[in-house]
Amino acid sequence: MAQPIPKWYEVVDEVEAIALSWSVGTVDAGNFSAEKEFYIWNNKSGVTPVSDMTNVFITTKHTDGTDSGLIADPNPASRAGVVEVQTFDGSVFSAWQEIHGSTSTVTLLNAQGASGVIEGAVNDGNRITPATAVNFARVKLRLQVYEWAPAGAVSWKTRVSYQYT
Amino acid sequence: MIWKAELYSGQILQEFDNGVETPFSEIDQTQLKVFGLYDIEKQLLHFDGASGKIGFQNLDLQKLEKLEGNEKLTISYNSEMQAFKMDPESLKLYNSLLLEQNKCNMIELYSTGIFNINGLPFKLEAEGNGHIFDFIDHQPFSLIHYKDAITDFISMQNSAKPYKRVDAVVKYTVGYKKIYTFAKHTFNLSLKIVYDVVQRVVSAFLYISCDQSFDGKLRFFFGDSQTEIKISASANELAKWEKILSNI
Repeated sequence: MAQPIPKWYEVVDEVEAIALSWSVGTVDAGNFSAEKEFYIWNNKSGVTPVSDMTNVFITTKHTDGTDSGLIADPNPASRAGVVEVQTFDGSVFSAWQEIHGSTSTVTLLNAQGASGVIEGAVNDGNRITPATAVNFARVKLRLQVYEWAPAGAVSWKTRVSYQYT
Repeated sequence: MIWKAELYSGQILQEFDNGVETPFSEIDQTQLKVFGLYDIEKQLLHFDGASGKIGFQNLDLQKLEKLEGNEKLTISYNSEMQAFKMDPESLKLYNSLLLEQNKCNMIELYSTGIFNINGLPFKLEAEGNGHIFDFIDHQPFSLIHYKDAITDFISMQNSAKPYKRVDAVVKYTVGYKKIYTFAKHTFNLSLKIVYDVVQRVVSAFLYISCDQSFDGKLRFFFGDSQTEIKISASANELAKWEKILSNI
């Protein structure tokens, strides 16, 4: 089966579009950024099936891909903040959970509630269609900026990892 | 890396053949002689955005000499994949021009249970409770193969600039699992060879349990070297072992 086709989408004013950026803007130390919601699709609107994404989890990485930097370092004292995530089980969002590096990851659920799987089945690409819920995961993200965070811009990668055959 | 499977009949199945993909599920594992992962030369394209020149560094000069000129490679945007892709005819032409004796990294698993890692054989045996247990030549087994991949969403300095998204395979895994039944012992074994693309290392991961308490050692043969580890486990206790075997 063809390799998965992951895509990141967002919904703005009820209209779904490819997510182009996640700007947390300026966040004062000790505060949270605004929330950002992503739809992470596999094979959106695909007319032929592709492999399922399995063991899917989300975390952050430094821009060089390592567990380091101001957001992804495992040591809180070395970080300026942390990304938090809410997963969606088809009915409700979870509580906020921290993600950073290899040690603090969160398993994603597809929008039907199956844990760790985003299916690659043929679908109509419409997030409202019940059967299509297996093809995407909904997550909300926000950045918590610590009290001791230095001023200035920070960059990181938000990473979804998965397996496929 | 892409996989290739050779069956006892001589039939070759491969993950991609001139752009046409074969599903892994189509492999008849009972007929499998060898399954392998092979490097594909994908880092050898240099595109100069100023001149528009594409430099392929893995093409056969003698084959290029036979071209008349103005042969075309068509690369089109595939919106479903969010990637540019060569059309089938162009891919066929490109593949026909490749050097045929490029160095190729490989991880192969033979139906005997012996791995071949870039030409070096790797196998396993156990010794304990007064017996030597050879974990080869007990086919068939259940083949394990999967890829670890990522999709990165990279924001740019907290700004609303368009993001960069990176999709990549970061690990390739090949191995097998099998329940080995000997005269008085039954072993449940899973042995995986993992190629970490980022670290560029090949590692072995073993999970093993025995239906009886076992006191002895596991012996790994890799090329000319041999590694022994002592193992003392109660019945059905899972023992784990992992080791970096080589750089690739």
